[in-house]
Amino acid sequence: MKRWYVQGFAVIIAVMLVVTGCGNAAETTNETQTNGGTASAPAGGDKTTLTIANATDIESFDTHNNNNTMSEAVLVNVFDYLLKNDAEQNKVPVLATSWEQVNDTTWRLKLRDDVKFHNGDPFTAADVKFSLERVAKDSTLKQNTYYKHIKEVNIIDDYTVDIVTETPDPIMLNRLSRMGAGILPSKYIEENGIEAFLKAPVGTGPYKFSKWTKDDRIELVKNADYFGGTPKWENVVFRSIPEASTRVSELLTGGVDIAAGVPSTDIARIDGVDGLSVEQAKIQRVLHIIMRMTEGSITADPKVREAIELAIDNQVIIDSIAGGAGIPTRTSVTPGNFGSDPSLYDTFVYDQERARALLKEAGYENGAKVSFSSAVQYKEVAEVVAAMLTDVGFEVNLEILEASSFSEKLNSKKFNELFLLGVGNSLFDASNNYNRFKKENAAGETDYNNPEVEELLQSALQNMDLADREKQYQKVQQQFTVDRPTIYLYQMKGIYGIGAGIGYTPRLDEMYYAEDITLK
Amino acid sequence: MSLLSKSQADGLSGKQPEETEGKWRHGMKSLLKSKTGTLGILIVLVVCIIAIGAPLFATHEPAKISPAQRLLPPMWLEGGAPDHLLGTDNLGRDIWSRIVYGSQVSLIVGIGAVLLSGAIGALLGLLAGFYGKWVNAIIMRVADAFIAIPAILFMLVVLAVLGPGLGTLIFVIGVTNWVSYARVVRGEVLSVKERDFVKAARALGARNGRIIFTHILPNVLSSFIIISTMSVATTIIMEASLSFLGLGIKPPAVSWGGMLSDGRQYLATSWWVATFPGLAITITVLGVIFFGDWLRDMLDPRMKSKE
Repeated sequence: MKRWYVQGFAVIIAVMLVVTGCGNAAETTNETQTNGGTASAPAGGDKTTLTIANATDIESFDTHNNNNTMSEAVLVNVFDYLLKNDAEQNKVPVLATSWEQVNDTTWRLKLRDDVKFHNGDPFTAADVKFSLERVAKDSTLKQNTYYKHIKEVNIIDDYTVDIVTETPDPIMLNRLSRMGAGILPSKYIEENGIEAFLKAPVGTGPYKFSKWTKDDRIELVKNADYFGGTPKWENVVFRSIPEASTRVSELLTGGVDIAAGVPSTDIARIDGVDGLSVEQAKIQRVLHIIMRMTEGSITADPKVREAIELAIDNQVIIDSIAGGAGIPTRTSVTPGNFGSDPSLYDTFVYDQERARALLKEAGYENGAKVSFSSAVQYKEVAEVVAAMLTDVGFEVNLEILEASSFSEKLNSKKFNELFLLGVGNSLFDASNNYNRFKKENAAGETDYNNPEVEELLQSALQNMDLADREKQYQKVQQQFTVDRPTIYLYQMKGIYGIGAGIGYTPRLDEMYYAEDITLK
Repeated sequence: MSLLSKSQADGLSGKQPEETEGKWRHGMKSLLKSKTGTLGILIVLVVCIIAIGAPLFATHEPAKISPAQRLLPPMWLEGGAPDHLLGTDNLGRDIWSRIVYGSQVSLIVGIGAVLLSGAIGALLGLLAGFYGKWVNAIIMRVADAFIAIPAILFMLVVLAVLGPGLGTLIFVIGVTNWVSYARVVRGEVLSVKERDFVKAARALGARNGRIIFTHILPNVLSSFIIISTMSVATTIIMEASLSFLGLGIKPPAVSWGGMLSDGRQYLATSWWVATFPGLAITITVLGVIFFGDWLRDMLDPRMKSKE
């Protein structure tokens, strides 16, 4: 008897596996057809809730203590900046109405006088002073490094402030329009403490905080008193769905209106459905392979570093793994950022023969051993790069790490020869691209030390002659193609799946301004 | 001792030559009679042959990446390439060749870990059962403690510290799984050591070592073999799970669990990437279980399932 059970069970399992396996292709088309009907249904009706799915949750509601784009993309709906970037990276007024540079170290800003925080407190110069001085003085905040040169904020009157810096700052406006410069309610925080504020955050933005279920969703409701007019949506929900295929499925079933980070292989799945669309947009993220130049390591030899760059066919990686969503580059300062050098963009170098010859010249004809680390997020890219390096004679020890152990190793500068890192730039200025390579920060990581580059970088930080400053950064970029403390794979594109009836144009800075997302 | 002839000694240790031969004949007969047993041993044989002759069966280099050929469907589907029998994975590697090479890892880890845990478990079980008293108390309390630790958690911690790899994988799975062997062997030893031939051996002045290894061990061997075979199946699954979690075999080495994990995010668009390694695991484990089932029926009539 028992044997028959076993046999029967085996047959059932086998049949199940085959059916689920083969059935998937057919099922997908079925699924998409039925969903085409249901998903487009709410479009014409009274849809009032916007739902956006991201891969990760926000770090916290403290805009001064976040350091990832996905957090900022959500928080811009709750907190306002003094000014912000429009879709073309022009600075446009938000809480400030006008600004002027009084002298090299002082900016004067006029503020709006009709703004209220979500709890009813009026917005005044005191809030600007409180917010900017908080991020400038508290070195435990993750954004402090971008603002620590701010000496003080002087209140001229209730709606005028002077921002005074220790040193001349050519990019103050860039700093004021990004995540560390969110304006917080001074009175509310002074009365209740920062902990209470983080549990029930209050800002001036078009949407108010309603509920945060960590690692699941953030619910915002509209701020009817918003100074910019009544917001478009009643509710805005940000869901965190780590699994890419689940995000796409949710989009197909109408569970979310916008899905970020769509895998290139799923584009056809979305495009096949009536009403749904896929939008691609360049984002500020460039994939780096950062190399250790510490004396004694194999990548200290410039020939080896050059061989690494020549061994990699950037376009093949873009076309296959990224599904075309990328632009090859030899600089991380891509167009749209101050200081970019167009001659290094949309280009790459690839020459296997030369790479082999260089390795031989360097004395590694019997295999050059390098270790190469990557976070699991970029596993496929790392595997292809490792294969390309192996092809020209490297022996690659590939190490794929979970996100947490990767960032732990990154922060403690423990990587060996090579590691893969996607680096963004919310400052839209070249200075941000080279922080990592300044002598002070490079020590222990790349150990990159070129006095000429160091001087250019230090001087550009305070150079108020913008044309000259641009040249300085272009010089640095050219020098980087020779020194190669890092090489670049490509500028990434964001791929978004967009639900029926939703009008959304993805931005270079990856922000979701719900007010710019429309119902068609 | 020298007073006893060899056959007498064999007789005393509970083994009789003609019985052994009879067992073999009985075994072959029952094997052919049992359909699942036949199927099981066939599957196990095929998997072993594939693993040993992997270079002969593989059509491609298993780790060879060709990004231009990624996610090709199996050859019988539209868009499939004729030289990629089961299609290609997310990096353009040939799935059939990877499954072929992956069988080596599954078998090496499956058998290696079972041998290791079996050796530890059998030895400790023999000692605990034979000596009893404080030896028994210590060993069995350690065994209890081991059961109290969630095995997967223990393995994750050890693998995270030692780093993934074939050797560490065998070591970790082997070390966590010895308890069941120790318990079964100890139980058997407790009953066997009261039997007459053991008493006789002791009366004749045999030393403990001799009693344990020549008189008791052969008599507990059948239960030991049965649980070992069954454990091979669970070990293969355990290896696949750990590789799925990224803590098993390190690329470029191939493991079925790792293949499953790679294919997970393509389930909706390219089902073949995860399905075939999944099938390979299922079929292999079923084969081992069927084989173990039959082996149990043959070696241990007491545990035989009713037909």
